[in-house]
Amino acid sequence: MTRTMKKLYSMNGIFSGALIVASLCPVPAAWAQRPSEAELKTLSSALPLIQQQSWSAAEASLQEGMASFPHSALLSNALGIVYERQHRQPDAIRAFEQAVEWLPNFTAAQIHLASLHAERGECHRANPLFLAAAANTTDEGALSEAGLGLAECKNLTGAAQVLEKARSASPSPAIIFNLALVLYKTSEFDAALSMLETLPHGPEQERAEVLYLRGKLLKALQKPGSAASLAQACRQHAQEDYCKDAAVEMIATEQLTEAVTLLESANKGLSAPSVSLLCALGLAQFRLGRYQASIRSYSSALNIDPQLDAAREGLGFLLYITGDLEQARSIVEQGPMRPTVDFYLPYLRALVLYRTSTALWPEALSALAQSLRSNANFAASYFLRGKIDLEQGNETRALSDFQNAAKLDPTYPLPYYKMSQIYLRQGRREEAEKARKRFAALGNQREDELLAKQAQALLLTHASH
Amino acid sequence: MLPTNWLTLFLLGSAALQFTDVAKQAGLTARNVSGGEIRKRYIVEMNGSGIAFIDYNKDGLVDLFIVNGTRFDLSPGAAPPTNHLYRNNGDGTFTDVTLEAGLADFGWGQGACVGDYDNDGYSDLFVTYYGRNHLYHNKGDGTFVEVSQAAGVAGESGHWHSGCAFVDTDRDGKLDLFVASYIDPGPAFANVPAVGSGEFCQYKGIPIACGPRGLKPGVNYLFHNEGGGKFKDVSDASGIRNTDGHYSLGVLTLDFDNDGWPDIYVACDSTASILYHNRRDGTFEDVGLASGTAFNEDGEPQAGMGVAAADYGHAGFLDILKTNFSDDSPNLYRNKGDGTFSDKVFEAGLGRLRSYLGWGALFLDYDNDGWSDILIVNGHLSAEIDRAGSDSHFRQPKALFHNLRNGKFQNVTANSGPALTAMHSSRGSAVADILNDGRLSVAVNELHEAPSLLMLQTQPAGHWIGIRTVGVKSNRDGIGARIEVEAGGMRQIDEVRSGGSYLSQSDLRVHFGVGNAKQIDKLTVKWPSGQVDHWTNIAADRQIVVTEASPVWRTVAVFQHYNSR
Repeated sequence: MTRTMKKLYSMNGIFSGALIVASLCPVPAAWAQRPSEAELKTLSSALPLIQQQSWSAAEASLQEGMASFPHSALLSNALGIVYERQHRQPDAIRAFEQAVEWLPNFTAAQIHLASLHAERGECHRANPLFLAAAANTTDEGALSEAGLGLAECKNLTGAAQVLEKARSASPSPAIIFNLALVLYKTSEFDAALSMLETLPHGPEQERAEVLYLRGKLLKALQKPGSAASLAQACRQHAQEDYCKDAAVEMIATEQLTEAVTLLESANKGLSAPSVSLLCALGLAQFRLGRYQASIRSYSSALNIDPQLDAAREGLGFLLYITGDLEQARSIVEQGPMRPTVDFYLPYLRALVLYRTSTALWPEALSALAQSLRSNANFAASYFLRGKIDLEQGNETRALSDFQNAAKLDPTYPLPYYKMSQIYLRQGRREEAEKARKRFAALGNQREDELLAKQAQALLLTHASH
Repeated sequence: MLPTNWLTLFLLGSAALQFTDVAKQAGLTARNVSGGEIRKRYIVEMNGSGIAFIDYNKDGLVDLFIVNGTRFDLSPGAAPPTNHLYRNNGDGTFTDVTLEAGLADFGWGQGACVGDYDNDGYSDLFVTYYGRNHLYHNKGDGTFVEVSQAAGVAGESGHWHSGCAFVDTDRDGKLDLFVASYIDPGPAFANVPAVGSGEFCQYKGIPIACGPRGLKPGVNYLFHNEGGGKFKDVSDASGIRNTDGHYSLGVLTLDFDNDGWPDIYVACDSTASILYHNRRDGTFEDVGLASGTAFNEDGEPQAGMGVAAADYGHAGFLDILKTNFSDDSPNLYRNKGDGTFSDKVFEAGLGRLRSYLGWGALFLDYDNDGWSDILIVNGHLSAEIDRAGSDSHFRQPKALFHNLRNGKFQNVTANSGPALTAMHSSRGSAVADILNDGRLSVAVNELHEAPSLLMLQTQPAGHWIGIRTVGVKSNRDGIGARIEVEAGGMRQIDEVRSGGSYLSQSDLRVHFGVGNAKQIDKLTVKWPSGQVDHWTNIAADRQIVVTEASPVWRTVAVFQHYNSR
């Protein structure tokens, strides 16, 4: 269970380890009837074997006990745990089901059974069991486990209710954190942040996972301090996710120098260089005008994983934008040209070919066609094709492409510039002026900036994947 | 098509040419002042100034005028920094004659341009300022008198005037004056936000002086020469203000559509650049957008600084070079001959200057092979920029590109002498044949330093001709005259031009390299008046003077160091 929780809550770290279900010992509130002394004696004799992981001996001991107490929920639950440890899931499920059948409010068995269902992706079976378990107990450990189980099964509302009950029973840092995390997942950002702030001041507030969650919440609430909190999380624990998210936020808020410092330090703290962090580092360096360093970062990322489109696109774009067209072409064309390749790489290839030489424009058009086959809604592809059309004297087709680009992305200013140019040349002054005004109103952003944003967005998309 | 071995010979020859900075030995020691050297409060401290070649004493040797700035925190009673005029001694040295020439003025000097506006035979000098401009009338006796107020070209105090050019817009034989204006910050930058106080006051996270974005754009001026030393402000009537707000800097005059009428291109910072098309009726129309010269190829506003024109591909039309800010590339607008241009900067091989902030821009055929090469001088805004840790530094090398004659250029900076790779924060640049020997030299106004004078140490392999035009019906300097040179199977064009580069003035004499041709087969001058003159079979390797409607040309001032081949 702990293993699956970690998988879901990558940021809950050590707290998930603190949540231990009293699996073997009875939970007093869960008992409808007290087990006999003989049952308890049988269980006691099996416990050392379980602790020694002598599964066969433990199973034999418990089976022997079951022979004497054929409807013992206590022994059946213990047997389920032994089976579970031996990865005998069907047997474990059967044992836990029997335990619950014989003792319907047996919280531990309910949670074990629910967890097994959850692990198998059978949340429709797991959720009622978690909720039933939570309804019948006030034990904070059991409640916490049930809450996390519900969260894992995407029943976030239920999880929040159960964890809130756990917090009322015992406001431990682990429960508070997990409750805040669930509230974050349910987009109750204010409540989540308030919950997080109830953690005791001092070390609990400075834990990496707490800092990370706070950073994410501040970002979601568009409050200041997000980047700082995420960065502190990264510094506390150079985990790839922490540092990547911190860097992304720092880049987005123009804290570029700080992002570079953080990422350089984080990469040193990792056992092996992270491709994501290297790409983020390359992006921050690029934005700072540290082109050579940026080229080195992207090249390193690409050396680690030559199949990584994001690194290839980043490096190719950087070389393109800095005018090293020959190298840019080489990098882009070394990329995978599989039919399913991301549309951006052929688009980037077309950009490079277009700038390199008029003789390469036919190839650029082919690359654009490939890009458009993968993504027919990328306005920039039509814009580039329109530019080539215009240079080749085909004003009609160029105008159509620019109009198409503007239609696909009405906030894209550059097509309007070209449209106004064509209208002027055609003597359509009124339309030219209209297009020019639209162009001016959109802020006539530099293509470099637009392309950088496109590249950044793609990079971050890749990173988030 | 040229034989391959000939081409190889010239390429090898050009590669061997070395530029050396001879400014100090030449006596050009006046240090540029432009606000604080460590910290700058206002953008006017960053932009530096231009530089101008002018043969003020008409001795056949171009002299050098260096525009200077000042400081906001000058100590009371301290001698303010002034502009400087250096007389060319003809032996590779210069003498500071500022005081005796009457040019020891001071202030936030910006640019300079040259033209004989009263047609008295002596080139006059116009200097732009943040504040009122100065028009120095050349009295012909080695001195100047400042006449801007009387002439009506002083502009307005509190306005930041930038590039300028004398140009006979209506071809009436009298030079008019175009003056660009950068921003209108008001007196003493009183209303300009403090360093680092807004989005336009940052550079990569470093707080810097604000602007130009966020500040009020300046307005450009056109002064029509009425004769008698008087100009009339026709800025509104001529239509040059029928454009959106611009932060205008470098000014370039050229007849881009070969219609015989001078047009004006203005490089603008952070806004669309302007191409004023001369409508031949005293008015201009901005065709920047339609022509493709307002922005780069995609409609991106750039930070235009310096400008230059040449027919770099021998197509018969003048192309435009414009320098821009760092994190960008220059523009190389190839004139398509139909009133439109294509930005060929990447295809031409000039796209790898992204770390450089370019200012002075020059086309110059430094190896005299008959093909215009390119020199761009660079430098960032202030020393504070270095704190950003980017690849772009306050001091930067220059960039020399050799014309490969196929539409492409090769960056030959690293192999062309230490003067080019030396680190400075350069601003204005101008080119001239200072020894009349066919070796082109480049003067550069370096921020917070004495100027550089880049001089070739060896004679270029190619032959050459230098042409000074003397107008009769046209303006006396022949400014605006279109010159065509046919030699060695090549046909080249250029114009006599006032202003240009970054707020600077190059030699009014037009220089052509002619490769291995020992004579000019045919020289044609199309004068602003409409007169067209031809001369034939002129021996190369000399400076000549041609006079409007005169069948003869004459050789002038061939310096003794000239190495005859």
